[in-house]
Amino acid sequence: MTISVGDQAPSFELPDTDGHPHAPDGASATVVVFTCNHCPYALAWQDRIAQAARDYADRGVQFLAINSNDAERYPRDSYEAMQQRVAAEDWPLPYLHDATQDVARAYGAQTTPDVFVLDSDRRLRYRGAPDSDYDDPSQEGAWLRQALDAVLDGRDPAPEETQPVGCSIKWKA
Amino acid sequence: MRFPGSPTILIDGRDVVTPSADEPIGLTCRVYRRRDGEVSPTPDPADLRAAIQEVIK
Repeated sequence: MTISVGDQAPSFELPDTDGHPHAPDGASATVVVFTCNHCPYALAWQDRIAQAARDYADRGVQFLAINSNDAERYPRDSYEAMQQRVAAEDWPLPYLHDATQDVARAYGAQTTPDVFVLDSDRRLRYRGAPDSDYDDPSQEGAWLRQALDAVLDGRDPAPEETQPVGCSIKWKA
Repeated sequence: MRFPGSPTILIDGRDVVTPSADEPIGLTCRVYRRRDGEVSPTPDPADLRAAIQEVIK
């Protein structure tokens, strides 16, 4: 299953690295980012996504990072490894564990990272990569920021969809 | 065999970027560090050029 721009995205509730549950809460905009610990694309974009979370915090935007990877085959993506990473780094957004992979499946997430921007009605307004080049930090997550600015201003994002780029989600066998 | 992940580029059987001892091994995505310190899914082009030049000199 996957969701298309304009569709209402599924709700969910997942635990962060402290065990506290998080869900899309009807914020003016919500960013759901599928990511993980081991993927170089996810790592390359992490600082840009984290900085966007800091920059948009005072505009009421909710950011949720989700790791859905199969930890059995990829131990570096285990819940314990997520906890260690958050303890060692500065994370301005909760890092959620999708142990069953149900949320990734419901969203049709393909890669790490894969970015979904939702409006206050949880309708999907942007889906794809954070920006056009994982190797260029000066991009600063431009597509993500453009989408957020548009949603917050009541406009349609442009682009509203880009090709997600990264490592494939590591599905359970 | 210690496979450090994909992509790994070998020239005459030698890795263009020597994996560090603590680098995880297995069928996974490989994390490279570019010369400016940024994480990348591919080797720094300068490292690739240097490895080729080392072989052909």
